[in-house]
Amino acid sequence: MKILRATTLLLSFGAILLALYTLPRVQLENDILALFPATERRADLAAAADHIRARVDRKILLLLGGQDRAAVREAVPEFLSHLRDCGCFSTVGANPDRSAWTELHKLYTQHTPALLSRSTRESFSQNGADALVRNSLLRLMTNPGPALANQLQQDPLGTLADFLAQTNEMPDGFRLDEDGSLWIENGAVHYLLIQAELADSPYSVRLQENVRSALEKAKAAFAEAAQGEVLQTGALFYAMAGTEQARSEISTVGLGSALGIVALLLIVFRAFNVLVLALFPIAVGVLLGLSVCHWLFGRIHIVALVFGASLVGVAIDYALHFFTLRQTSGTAWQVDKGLRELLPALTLGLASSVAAYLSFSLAGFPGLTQMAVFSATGLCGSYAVVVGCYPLLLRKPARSPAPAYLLTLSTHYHDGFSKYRHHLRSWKVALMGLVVAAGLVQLHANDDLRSMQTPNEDVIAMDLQVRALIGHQAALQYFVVAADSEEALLQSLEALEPQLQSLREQGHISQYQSLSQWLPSAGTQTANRALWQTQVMESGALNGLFEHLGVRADIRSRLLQHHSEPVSPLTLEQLAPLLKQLPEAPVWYHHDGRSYGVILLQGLTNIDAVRALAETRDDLFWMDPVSQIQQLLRDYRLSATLLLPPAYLLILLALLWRYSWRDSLAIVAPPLMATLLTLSVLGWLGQPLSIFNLMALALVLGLGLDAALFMRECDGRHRQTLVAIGLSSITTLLSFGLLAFSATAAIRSFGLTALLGISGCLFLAPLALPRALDADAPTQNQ
Amino acid sequence: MTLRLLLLLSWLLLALPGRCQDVFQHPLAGGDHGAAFAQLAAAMKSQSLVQGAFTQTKHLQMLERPLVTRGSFTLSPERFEWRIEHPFTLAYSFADQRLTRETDGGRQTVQPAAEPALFGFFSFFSSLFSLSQSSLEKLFAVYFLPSEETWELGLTPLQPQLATSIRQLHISGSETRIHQVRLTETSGDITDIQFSYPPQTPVAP
Repeated sequence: MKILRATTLLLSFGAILLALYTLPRVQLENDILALFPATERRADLAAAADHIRARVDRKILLLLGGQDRAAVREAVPEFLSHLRDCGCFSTVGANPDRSAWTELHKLYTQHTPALLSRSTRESFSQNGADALVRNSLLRLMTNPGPALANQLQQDPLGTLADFLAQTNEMPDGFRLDEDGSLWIENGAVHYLLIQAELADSPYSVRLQENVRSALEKAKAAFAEAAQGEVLQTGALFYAMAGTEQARSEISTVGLGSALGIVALLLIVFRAFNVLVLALFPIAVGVLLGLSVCHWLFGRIHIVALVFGASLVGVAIDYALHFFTLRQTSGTAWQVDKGLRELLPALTLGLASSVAAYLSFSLAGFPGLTQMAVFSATGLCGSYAVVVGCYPLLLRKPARSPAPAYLLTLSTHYHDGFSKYRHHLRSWKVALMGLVVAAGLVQLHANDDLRSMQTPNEDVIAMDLQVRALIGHQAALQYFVVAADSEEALLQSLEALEPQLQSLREQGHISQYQSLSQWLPSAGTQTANRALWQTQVMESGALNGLFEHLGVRADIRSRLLQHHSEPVSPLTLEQLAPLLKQLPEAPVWYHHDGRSYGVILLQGLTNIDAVRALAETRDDLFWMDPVSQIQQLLRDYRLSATLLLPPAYLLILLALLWRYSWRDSLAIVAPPLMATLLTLSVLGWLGQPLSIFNLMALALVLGLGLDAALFMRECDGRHRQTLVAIGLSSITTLLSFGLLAFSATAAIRSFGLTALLGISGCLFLAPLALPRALDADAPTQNQ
Repeated sequence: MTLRLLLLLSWLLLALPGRCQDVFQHPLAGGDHGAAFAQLAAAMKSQSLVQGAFTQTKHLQMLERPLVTRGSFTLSPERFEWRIEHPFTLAYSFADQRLTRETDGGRQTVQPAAEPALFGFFSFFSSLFSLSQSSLEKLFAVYFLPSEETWELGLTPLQPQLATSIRQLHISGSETRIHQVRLTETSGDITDIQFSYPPQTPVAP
């Protein structure tokens, strides 16, 4: 006992210290996809999503628009200086740093004969090099620009330029000005494109704060200087809107439940010190849960935070048990004895709650696992405070007894309930059954993820506006190609190019990004060199070009030697460090010794036609994250629906061990009827069913069964028990039911279901009373 | 090779006409000719249309003889046309920050990333007439020397990336007309463009 108290005391102080250290580091996540497990069963393919995400997560785009181009341009330096001052960006500017591209270009020029585009190869095999030489001569002799000598050295036939054009096609809407800045013209408005890379994760709350204030200043300055508007897009802005929503939700839901609990405590216990003491374990619990989640998962999903914090709110029960016992003991209160009396109930309560919450993680949803860990560790923290700190703080007996009207109220309710139940006509039961059944019939399911996530509408609207301006409609769907080696990957990607090109020509996609556009396979490079050697060198075509231009003899022989020098093929290893720095570079990765390439698509208009490509090859996989998750949610909803009836049956069978058929049914009745009623109300309200409603129904089963068992075992103290159940139901309602007012549809449907179900359980609890007690209740208690 | 290049470079520098050296002694910033430059810039900006003929001569060290191109050009605020007639027919058109090349084979968009030097040339020249001192000074150290009839403008690039390939630009003209542009690369190669204007073209006030 002493050891337990000392440990828990130590634990609660440890929790507070840990929380103080952790809080400033917490990162919030609001992407609803992160709540769910990787839909892809193959981990190697699932990794593609992480790589794509890593590419875009930290990027933001800002468009500075105004009618007067010069004014916009003049306002840029001040705008940028505001952003740079905040220190939240690793790079920010109107002229993206192209040094990686310059380096890459330098590397490419050493492999000109190996880097031929498909059209160049076709031209070689059809007309030899003649057409290219003629064309090149034309360009070289008339080129008004500088660096002609470089061209003769690096790309005498313009074949490399042709190869590079396919890697780096500028979208139609873009214009490059003389400063190297990108502009988008939209009617009378000129938009200057500013690209920035965040210095930290977009989910870091601290970073979001800094960006918000810096952007506000920068936008105000820009609006004043150029009378223009600023458009923005990027994962950051979704994250910021999510944080804002979570903050307001925690303050409304959290404040609502806290105020409700405070009012309840003041009414029942009539003491302020009790109030502070009651909230203390919850505060420690929430902070501990937050800290543990931070260290375990890195970032905490907003849904897990809101749910988790509410679930820890159940810890108020521990405090209530303690206070109630103290109050009813009156002057005979001895803290050690009291604690000893309470400890089994408290520990059992903690164990069963923790077990119940942790069972949420069985669903395999990462978000639910976070929530389970949050609430389970949080409850342990609260328990530690109650067991460790309360005995030190609540030595003295309570000053005022419990208010008598609560008992009167519960008596009235109980009596009324019994009376009504005994005078119930069968036609009324049938009518109620019909109404409930009519509601159940109206139930429909909806597993559409997008209807459950309600991201900030302004952010979406702005995102769409920017995408429309940029004309860059990146598709959510993509292909992944798997291969045993880098070379095999490049070969597979190459083999796909003709098909992708034909999809482009048919207008099913507007553009695609594939590694093979940036690097031909070693096999193709060797073949290209052989083609170059015969068509360009041995045919004398290049020599003819040089002669025609009048290249001096000594330089000519040096150049000819340079262009026929055997060079080993360019490898991905050489390119990788440079490609990693380019935002437009393709995505590829390695997993368990195999190589994978992602083919990103733009302007996807015909999903079926494009998806069909995946059926032509075994190593090509079509990835459609949204529809996969939808399917997964449907599977979980169906399995949860199928699991609930067996769960009730199993509980009924377990009850039969101790009780008669009749009593067992009576104990199961409150949660079961509450569940049916809830479903019926949802049906009447037109609320669609998803996995989130079913999770709430599982909670209703647990809580309702608890309450019913208490009623059954109350041993004649049913009015006091009803008060206790009422208090704990109301606190539970305050913690869960308020979620019905959340702005996130998923949380809202959970909250609404919990609200209906738990109230149902509370009102129907007397159904579980032992038969003798119930039938005689009205007369016995008068 | 390096030694020969150095010798060539020093020869080129010495061989440059004296007046070329002069203008680079007169930085625009902090000099006495700011007002004259602003006047010239304003006058150039007000021109709606400039057209004429050009002769371009490229002196490359690796070539035995210079490459000579002749043709005509049209420059308006919206569009910069560069029509080459000799030795081949080929036209470049730069409008709305987009460069297209027209040959008998057809029309083709030049991707800035694929042919940066060519794109840079057109991007720079099309905006030359509308550039203010401040916007020029973002990219170049600007030198300016007006005399009674003529003026000279010297530009040396500030951006390291531009400076690796271009040593300087020397532009001379009278009133609002550019007569000659001489581009000297860091390699010592020189592109010389002479402009001539048909007599009937009205000169902007």
